[in-house]
Amino acid sequence: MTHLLNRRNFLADTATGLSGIALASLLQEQQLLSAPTEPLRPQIDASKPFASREPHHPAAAKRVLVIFCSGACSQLDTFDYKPELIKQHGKPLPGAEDLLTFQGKQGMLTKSPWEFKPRGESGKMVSELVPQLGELADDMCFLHSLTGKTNTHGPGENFMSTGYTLDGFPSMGAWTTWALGTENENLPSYVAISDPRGTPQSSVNNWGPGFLPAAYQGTEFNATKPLGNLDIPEGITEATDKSTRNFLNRLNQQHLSKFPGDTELAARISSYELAARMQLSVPEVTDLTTESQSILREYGADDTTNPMKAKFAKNCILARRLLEKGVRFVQLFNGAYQTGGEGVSNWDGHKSLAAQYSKHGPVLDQPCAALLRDMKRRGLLEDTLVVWMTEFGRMPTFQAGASGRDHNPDGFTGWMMGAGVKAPYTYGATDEFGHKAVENVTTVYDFHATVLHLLGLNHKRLSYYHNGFERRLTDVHGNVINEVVA
Amino acid sequence: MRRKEGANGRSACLWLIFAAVCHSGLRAEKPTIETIDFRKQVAPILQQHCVGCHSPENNQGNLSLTTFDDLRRNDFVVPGSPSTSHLIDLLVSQDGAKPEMPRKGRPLSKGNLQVLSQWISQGARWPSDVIIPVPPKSQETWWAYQPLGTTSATDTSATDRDPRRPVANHPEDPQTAAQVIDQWIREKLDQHRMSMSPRADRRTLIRRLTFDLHGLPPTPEAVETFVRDPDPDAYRNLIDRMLDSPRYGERYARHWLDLAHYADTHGFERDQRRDNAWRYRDYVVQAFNQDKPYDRFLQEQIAGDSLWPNNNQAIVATGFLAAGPWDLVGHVETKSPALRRSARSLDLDDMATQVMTSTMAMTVNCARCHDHKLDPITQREYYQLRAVFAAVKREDRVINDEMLQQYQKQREQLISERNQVDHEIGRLEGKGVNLADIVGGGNGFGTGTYRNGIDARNAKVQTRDFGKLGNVETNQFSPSSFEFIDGVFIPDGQNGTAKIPVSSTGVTITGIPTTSGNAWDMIRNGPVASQHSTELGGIDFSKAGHTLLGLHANAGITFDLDAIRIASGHDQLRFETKLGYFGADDGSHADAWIFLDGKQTSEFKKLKRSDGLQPVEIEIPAQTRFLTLVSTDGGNGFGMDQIGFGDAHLKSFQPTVLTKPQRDRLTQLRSDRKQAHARLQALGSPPRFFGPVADSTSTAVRLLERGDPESPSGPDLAPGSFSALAMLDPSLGTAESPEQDRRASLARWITSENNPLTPRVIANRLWHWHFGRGLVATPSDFGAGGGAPSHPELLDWLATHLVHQDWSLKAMHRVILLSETYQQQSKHQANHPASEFDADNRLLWKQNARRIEAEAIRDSVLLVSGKLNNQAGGPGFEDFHYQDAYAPIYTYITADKPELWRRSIYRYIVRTTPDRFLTTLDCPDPANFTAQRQTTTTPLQSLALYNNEFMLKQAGYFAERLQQDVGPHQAAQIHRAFQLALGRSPDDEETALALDLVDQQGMFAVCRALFNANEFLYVD
Repeated sequence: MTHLLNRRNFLADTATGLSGIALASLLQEQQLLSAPTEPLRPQIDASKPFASREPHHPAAAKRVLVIFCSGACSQLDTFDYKPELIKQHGKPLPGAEDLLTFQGKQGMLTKSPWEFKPRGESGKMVSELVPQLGELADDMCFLHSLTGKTNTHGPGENFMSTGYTLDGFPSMGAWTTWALGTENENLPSYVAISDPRGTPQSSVNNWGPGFLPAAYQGTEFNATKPLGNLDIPEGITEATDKSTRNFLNRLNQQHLSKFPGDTELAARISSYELAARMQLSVPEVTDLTTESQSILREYGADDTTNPMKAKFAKNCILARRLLEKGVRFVQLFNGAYQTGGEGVSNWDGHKSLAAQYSKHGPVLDQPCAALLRDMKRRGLLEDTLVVWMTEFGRMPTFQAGASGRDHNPDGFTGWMMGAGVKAPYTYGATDEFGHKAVENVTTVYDFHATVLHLLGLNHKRLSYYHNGFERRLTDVHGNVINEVVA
Repeated sequence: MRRKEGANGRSACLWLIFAAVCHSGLRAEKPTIETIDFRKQVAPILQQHCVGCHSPENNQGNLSLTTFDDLRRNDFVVPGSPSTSHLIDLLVSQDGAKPEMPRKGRPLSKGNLQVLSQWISQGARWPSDVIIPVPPKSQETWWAYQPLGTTSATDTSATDRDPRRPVANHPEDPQTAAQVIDQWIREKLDQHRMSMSPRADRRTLIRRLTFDLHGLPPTPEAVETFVRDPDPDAYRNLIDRMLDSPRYGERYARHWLDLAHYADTHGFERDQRRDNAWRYRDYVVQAFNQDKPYDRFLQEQIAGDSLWPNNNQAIVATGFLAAGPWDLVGHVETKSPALRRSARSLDLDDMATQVMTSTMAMTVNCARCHDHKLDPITQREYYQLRAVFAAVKREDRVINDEMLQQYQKQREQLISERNQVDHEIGRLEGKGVNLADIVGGGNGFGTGTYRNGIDARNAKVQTRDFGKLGNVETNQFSPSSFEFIDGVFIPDGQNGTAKIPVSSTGVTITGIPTTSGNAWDMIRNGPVASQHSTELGGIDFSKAGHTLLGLHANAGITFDLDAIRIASGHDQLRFETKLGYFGADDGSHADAWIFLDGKQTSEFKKLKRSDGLQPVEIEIPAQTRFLTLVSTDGGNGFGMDQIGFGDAHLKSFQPTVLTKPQRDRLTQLRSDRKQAHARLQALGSPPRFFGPVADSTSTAVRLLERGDPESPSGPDLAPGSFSALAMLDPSLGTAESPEQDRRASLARWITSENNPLTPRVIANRLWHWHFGRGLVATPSDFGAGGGAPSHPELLDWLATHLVHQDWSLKAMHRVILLSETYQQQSKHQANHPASEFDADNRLLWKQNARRIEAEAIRDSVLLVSGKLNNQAGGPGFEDFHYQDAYAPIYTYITADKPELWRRSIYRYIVRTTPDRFLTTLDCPDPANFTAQRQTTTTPLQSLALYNNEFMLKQAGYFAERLQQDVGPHQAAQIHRAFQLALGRSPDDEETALALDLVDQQGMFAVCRALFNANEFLYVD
């Protein structure tokens, strides 16, 4: 049962659907009766909602880094090598005469403008669009047979981040921190690092709490846009700030004495102490000036020729620093919508894929590869799971009358790396052109189930009662992809 | 089920069956043995009595009766031999005792036993394809589906219901009625040897009541008046006063809008504005304030347009059906028909779910993919409910045509009056002719319509937004019907070689580079569709005093200077503008050109946003006939190429010297202008609201296999509701019923006097809003997945009382608030026995203390600082900068001016970009139906309350207010501050501490601390 909701604990019994009078004895009985399929609620102490909690089973990963390429990054120009597509370049996609995808009709099969080359000892073919990421192929576990449920960006992002295409469902990070709390209560438990160009299409839904307690929503900031409300406000001296806080504390303590043993009031008092600690630890973790010149160079954070890359590189360094400090869940976004839809600031390459991806590839490749190498050097990959994802895939054809690829949810690529993941490994495959998943076809639900599994969570038992449903990240679907688990 | 040993029992049971057969009169008349039909006769018995426990999922006694396998094993069933089949043993009473099975519920009837035994004798054939589905946990016998007044205290399965208890005592006087509540509460407390807590003091009560009914703290004056009021009815009078205040409707509308998941944008990835949504919000506020009978309130929201077609309020009420999110891309923009079907299916699901969960707490959407697993709702019934809304689309809708016509007539009249004034002012001032205004259909002096456009393909006038244009023919001149515009064209210079016609007289231009030949949207009076920004070089050209002629590449427009000279009276013209690239600063660029009679006078190549504004001043020779403006894409694609001509004017270059009468006239005109403008403002927004619109093209509803829109099956479904409520006819019409009739039927079904759920659900919600938790702890789920009532008789009494009070919600508030139960204090001793025994306070041995909600925090801060603006109704206030884009950008600003200090209910609510301050304080996402607000406690909340700029500014105003209220005396200020924020005086220690703080840091610090105090944020 969730005890987050305080002394008043209104939702405690709704969460179990417990009927009648929720007396202590009944509660015990409830627990005795619990069968292996029944929900496992995290035991949350209201005064410490973010305290680290035990997983359902021994976990391979303690924390997660999600790298999210917003706009639907084409599998065919990055990680899904299709020799037949190169051979059939310029010919029609069989059976696609009447195929209407998101924007309409299909043109001809089109090979990637980037050459694929064998990488690492495994010889995995990765394109020249992301050569540095390619060099890490031996550490990666590719899933080439992902299938989604939607062809539209907003719902696609929702689906990848929350398991539902609609707005308003808890994000994977919210589920994770609700279940597991965090290892460092002096920092937000869940951070969403938005792209320097802005927020992704589905915006806060990607890190929203849905109907879970709002405490578990992701906190958004990045290397150039600091966390708000953190600094002592302008015009207020440190001394004033401190004596105001002391006065507040005295008021609250006196009030508490009228409600002895009230955990919620006590929790609010301690949340100010926690906030004070956060005011120290967040600036510390976001201060990149302590990073060495060689690190800045490796990530590309000092690249004056490509300011966007430099900004994204700083976000990558920030991600590593947060993970090092024990933040449970970090989402790192690459690509945004607000500063330009349809491929201008993101991977939505409908019309001029070669030109647009030529800009986006370098922004992603070096910083992200440096981040992964850095994490490996520091041993972070031992207990951190890295997940790369995007909304859905793209078509092997160019769109009729355009030089880019339309949306394709029938076969796309994601990859994992680090804790608990088999590598080098490739799971599943698309057809000869990279259009539809045909071998070991898997779903986003399976993908999510596997991530939770690596975190020590049973996706079928991690559920929350809401408006008549035991809601899960994986809805009523999903199987752990055991083949990719080390 | 345990296998039974010994033959005695078996023979006894055989005898019984034999006896049963012999005693059956029916049997005697029908000597021929009928063949038992397994599907029709046996399966229903097993489903009803056995499978609930003996299923693969539940597997009690290691046995499943969903298939034949387990029964055949261990001789539970021996085909042909009922006498050796253990199944029969277990089902038959022996020695008068209750039969061993079923363990829960009544024994099988003799008839059923007979069927089973006969089936076994006939060989116990069980077709291999028959798997008996597990019945839902709740049946038609579930407590919530029973008539009012028949649910009992302990039983929820209703199989062994206690004798029914009357709940018919409904005194008219609310004070007496309130005692009925207390009786029910006391009865249960007595059973557990507990008692109510003492009544809270008046100071606590008024604070509790004010937050409860108004969502605000009481003023110190109200507190003192009440505390000192010698009238024994003081509390009762206070309740009446508070229910009469318009603040009440604002508070309760927030609760209802949570259930309707209301917002002012569409949501989903495009999240466009929904500027007429507020009328429904205002309707809800007014409905609560007017104490609209609750049944009528529901009827209006579901089918007001059908039931009261001449009542504007009832029409606006249907905005309820459209209040939720809507997927523009999925419904309109995508070319994929499958995606459209999917979006539509989810849209209908949202609508049907909203109606049924809010009114009857039935979680119908659980039956979208399969029969409801917990409740007796079939998948077919779910789709029949959807058939009610099959033709309903969410759109802007005119409240009534006559009103709109009148409005438009009035508006046109006022605009025309204003324009005449503008025209004359313009001439006198020598302001010059505005070209953007001309593009908007105007005379160059402000009569044009903002954002109207001309199609560069054919010179047609357009009001709506376009994207990339199809059917483009380049270098084709289209003459315009506007007096001052000669025509338009889409240029492709073909590497400088093309002669592009730019006038009706055959003038051409050359020297233009090759373009993509693509065009976007219209040539506009204002920004083009999805324009990145209207700001450049520090000037926002969408603001008053500025204009923008939007000319997205590739496009060209030619103005007829002769016509302009005649109309304006200026002969000597000078062209002035500030042009630039208004697209994003992402390296894209475009070209802009200006021609006089086909001769190039200016060119701006590779213009980027970073180049800023390009000032242009061209003196035009008197004989020149045509001015041509052109934008081209610069050869790098036309995306983002938003060329704009800011403040483009043709002015007389001879300075105007005004005579005395002209100057006087100008003064008069300027005053007229102000009045004309004020009249136009006062007219307000057009009589439109966002609501349901019947769509004649929408197709009938069929059942979707597994909820998949691509797998419809079976016939077109007639509209219908749920047979679980046995007292009501679920039919709502036929497959041919008109759209509005369907909704009217549903509205009547939901509010039928025999429907027990609707009054139960609202009674429980009222309880929930007053106690922080309902008698049923899941206010939007009265099914088996939700909670059962802690006080079922009380719930039914409340529901019945509501109907007795003609569905008056205010009457119900009175009764609940007057109860001693409500008035208990929330404090208790640390070692209070109940705090161990019933920590969750389900028995209500005290009142629940609560943290106030995000909106209430904001509103309370404003009230205490003295800045709350009580302006009620109308379009929501926008505490953000709005920037139009593919997905518009909403950038929040600190609310620091009176128009942003209105109550939170009047906020313009953006779905995908929520106000972060409120979200941090647990304000829920309007994507969800929120039946109960949650409270969390986090350091980020503390930081927001302590450091957020809004909070700091308000703390500053609070301090200023103290000075104004009580003068410079510090102790008096501190006293006043406590009174305002906490509703009480500070004690000596607090005063001393506060004085100390004021000495060091000023009154601001005290105010800031008070806004963060637990006592400020919690209501006891």
